[in-house]
Amino acid sequence: MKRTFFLFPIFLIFLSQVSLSAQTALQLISKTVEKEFAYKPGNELNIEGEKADVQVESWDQDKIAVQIIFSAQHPDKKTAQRELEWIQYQAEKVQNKIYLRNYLKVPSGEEKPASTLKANYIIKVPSDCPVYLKSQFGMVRIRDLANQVRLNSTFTNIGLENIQGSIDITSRFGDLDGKFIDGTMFVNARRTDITLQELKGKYDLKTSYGTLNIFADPNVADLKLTADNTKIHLVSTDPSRFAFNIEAKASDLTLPDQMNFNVLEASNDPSVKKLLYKPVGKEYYANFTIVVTFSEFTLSVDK
Amino acid sequence: MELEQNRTTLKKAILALPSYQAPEGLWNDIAQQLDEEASSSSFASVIDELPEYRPPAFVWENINQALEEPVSKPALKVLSSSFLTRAAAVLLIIAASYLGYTLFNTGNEAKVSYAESTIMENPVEIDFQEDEPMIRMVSQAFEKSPVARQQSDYDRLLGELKELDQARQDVLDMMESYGEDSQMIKELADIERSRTDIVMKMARFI
Repeated sequence: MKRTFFLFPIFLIFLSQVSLSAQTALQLISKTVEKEFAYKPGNELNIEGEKADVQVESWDQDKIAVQIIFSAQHPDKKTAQRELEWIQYQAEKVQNKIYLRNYLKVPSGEEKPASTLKANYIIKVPSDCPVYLKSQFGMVRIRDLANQVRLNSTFTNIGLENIQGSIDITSRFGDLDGKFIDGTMFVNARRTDITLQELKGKYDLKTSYGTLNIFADPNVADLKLTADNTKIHLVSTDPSRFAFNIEAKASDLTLPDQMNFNVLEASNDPSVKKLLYKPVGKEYYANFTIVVTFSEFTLSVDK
Repeated sequence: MELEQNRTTLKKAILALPSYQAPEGLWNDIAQQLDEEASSSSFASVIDELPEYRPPAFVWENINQALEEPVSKPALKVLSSSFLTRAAAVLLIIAASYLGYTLFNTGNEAKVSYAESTIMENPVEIDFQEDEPMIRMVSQAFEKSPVARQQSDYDRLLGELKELDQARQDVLDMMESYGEDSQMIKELADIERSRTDIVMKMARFI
């Protein structure tokens, strides 16, 4: 299978059979769909994007405004125009749920599209609108929401900013960047690189085969981390303010010298380490429970 | 109805009758007097002195029997039934409309517009299958190798490669459907990097 696409340096290392062609003019045809929905508390936004970039942010109006831009690129304009219409979409309200969805429907008798097809959602919602998003191959940007965000993604780059309330994320093969998060966050990630910073509230993170960078703000109330085959870096301006309960199996631990961790119990398995730390002279403190397997865990002080 | 035979004469006679006007205040005086009598103890005592009579039993039996018999009012019934039916139909339509609007309101009509432009790109051609025979060979040799089977990572490495193979196929399928872009190429590169790590580990045990 020989495919044609556009220069992107990183893959050159891994894909050896690469050849350059002369510069080509591509016809870019776009179709913009705009729609608004009345909103009242109790309504919920459900998005199912395929090969879609989705941007959701709040505004101060009691309605949901949706703009979806579908695009097709191909050297031949008629091909791009014809295949653009193969992207189907749904934008409707049923009971208290607003459904937005795109998918590809190739007419019978037609070959698969020769064009590069894509969808781009730009959505504005009231800040208290719960958002449920399912994404496959795309990018998600959500900001300034204050109720509930649920994401289920595959091959998706996720960006969250200024989110309060309940956050539930399941990610497989992707990236997750979150900042200014305040609430209860649950993450189940596999082969996902995660960076979280400017945090408040409670966190329950499960990761496999990825990286995890957490900048733990003093306002983090609780952190539970279960990881395997993950490279973890936990940074805080003062990690000694938190209580740590660490269980590490076949993992490398790097801890600050100034914090005296105690070994909780001797284990029969030499590959297992159990370490405990409690802040000195403090009655109330956040608990960090960390269970890592086949991982690298580094706790460091952000100076 | 029986008609008056001397209607004209009678009408003239009535019109010829003298008329009298009651003196001013007469009606007020009568009303006041009646009120005073009603409130006076003598009036109450007179009422108390009135005789009482108990009706015979058959009177109540006749009343009960009459009440139990169905009342037949055909004209009113037809009118009432028709009116209620129409009212119920109107209410049903209103309720259904409201319910339909509430439950299945799909929002306002979507506005659709089109645009077109031309962009210049540098295409590259990549053969995604170039390294596949080598990867297959290594993984199959690892799977059959007695030395590899002794390794604690044996199942894990095979499982990881299987997962990555499936992910790679998912990306290729999506490229087939939607075409390639830089993000998908990056995904593929990440997967290939992970696959390369695993295959290198496998190669040590064959």
